[in-house]
Amino acid sequence: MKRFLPVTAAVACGGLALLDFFFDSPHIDAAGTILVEGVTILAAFALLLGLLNILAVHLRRVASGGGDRGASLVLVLALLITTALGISMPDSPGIDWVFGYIYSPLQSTMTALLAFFVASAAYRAFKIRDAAAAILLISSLFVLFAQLPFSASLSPYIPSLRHWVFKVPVTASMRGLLFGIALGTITTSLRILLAVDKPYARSQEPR
Amino acid sequence: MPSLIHAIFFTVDVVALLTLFVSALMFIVFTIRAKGGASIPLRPIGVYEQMRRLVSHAAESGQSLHISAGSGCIGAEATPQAVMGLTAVDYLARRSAEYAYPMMSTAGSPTVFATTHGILQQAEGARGEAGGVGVRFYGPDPFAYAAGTYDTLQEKQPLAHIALGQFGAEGLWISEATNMRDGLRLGGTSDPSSAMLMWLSLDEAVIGEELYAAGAYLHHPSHLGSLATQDYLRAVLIFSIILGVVVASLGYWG
Repeated sequence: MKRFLPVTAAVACGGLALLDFFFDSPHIDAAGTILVEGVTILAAFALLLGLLNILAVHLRRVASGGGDRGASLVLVLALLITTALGISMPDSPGIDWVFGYIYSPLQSTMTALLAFFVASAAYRAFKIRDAAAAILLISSLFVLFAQLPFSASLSPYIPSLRHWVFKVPVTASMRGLLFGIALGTITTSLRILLAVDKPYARSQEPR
Repeated sequence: MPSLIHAIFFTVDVVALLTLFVSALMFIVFTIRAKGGASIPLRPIGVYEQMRRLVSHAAESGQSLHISAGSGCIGAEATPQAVMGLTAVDYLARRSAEYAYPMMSTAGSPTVFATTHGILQQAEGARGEAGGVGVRFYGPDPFAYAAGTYDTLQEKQPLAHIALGQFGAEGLWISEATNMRDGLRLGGTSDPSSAMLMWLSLDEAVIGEELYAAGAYLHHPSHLGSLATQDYLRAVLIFSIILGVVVASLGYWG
């Protein structure tokens, strides 16, 4: 019964969601809407659990007195102050200030770091290790060069070759990749829908 | 009944329904065959082979393994990717219960966090350990999740960091920020642009559909049926494309 109920509920909900996708009936639509709302409510409760997890991890760190306790203390205080502000005064300028002057700049900083990370990852990948890395290096250098405004003046074939690279090999490989992803998504969804894969009810080694 | 028939033939996407029906039929047949012990050959995929080796290393050295199942939410569009990430978490957790090596995980979505918590709690119970489960949630914002994961990796210094599931730019952020460490970094996602960035950065990476093979390669023989289904559907697609090109070239279509 411990496994039967979750599996039956999951298969029934999956089947109903699928019916909602294929059929345009007011009854099925209503049931589908209830399911979607249910997922949202469950996710909200899981978020609450996550909030408690952050608090527990960092309060433990503050209490243990390690080297990073200062950062943990800042995190806990920021979390508590923002939560208190958000609940007591949701439309106050204080909340806007927190997002505008703390959250957004921090996020921009993280995004800005990505540029350096892309460069350093590309540098390591460009060290020719095998044929794939060699193709990556040659094609990247060519596309970089062909993007330059003066490259067309060197040869009229360069822009058309660049266009061909984007239109034929890049599009073909992307479509191949997307087909594979679509097939993978279909079979993974079928596994869950037909209860072959049960991530919600794990108790024994799967067969 | 007439309204149902009308619904089926006039409002339903018949091609999608037919595709689903054929896929489900093939899937059932191949899964029954796979469960019956039919041999389905697998080509080697570096990430999954390394994960198997890592279990032995962790068991021998007693060092911990860290895994992230990504920032995709269960119940949203990224469910299949999140489930594959959780399959990898489940594999490492079961081995951790068996060989008693420590394990930790970070989550970037509340639903993945709750599921990972359950999986690791079960593994730690099997190891006879009580107390805090080694899973941390760092908020649904991808960059907060990346920063939190980086912090956890710096603090715990695990034997390896594995990032399998739904990742966007945060996948590159985590893998590059942890590049200076000695540990092995494995992972992958199915989103093409993020997968390429992770492939550039990680020691071994899976790209696209390889992510969905995690179960079949790690510990679910029944997943072999879905791999066979994928292969046959791919063959049908290739044949359809070639047929379409020939028919269109001869001027009979389009």
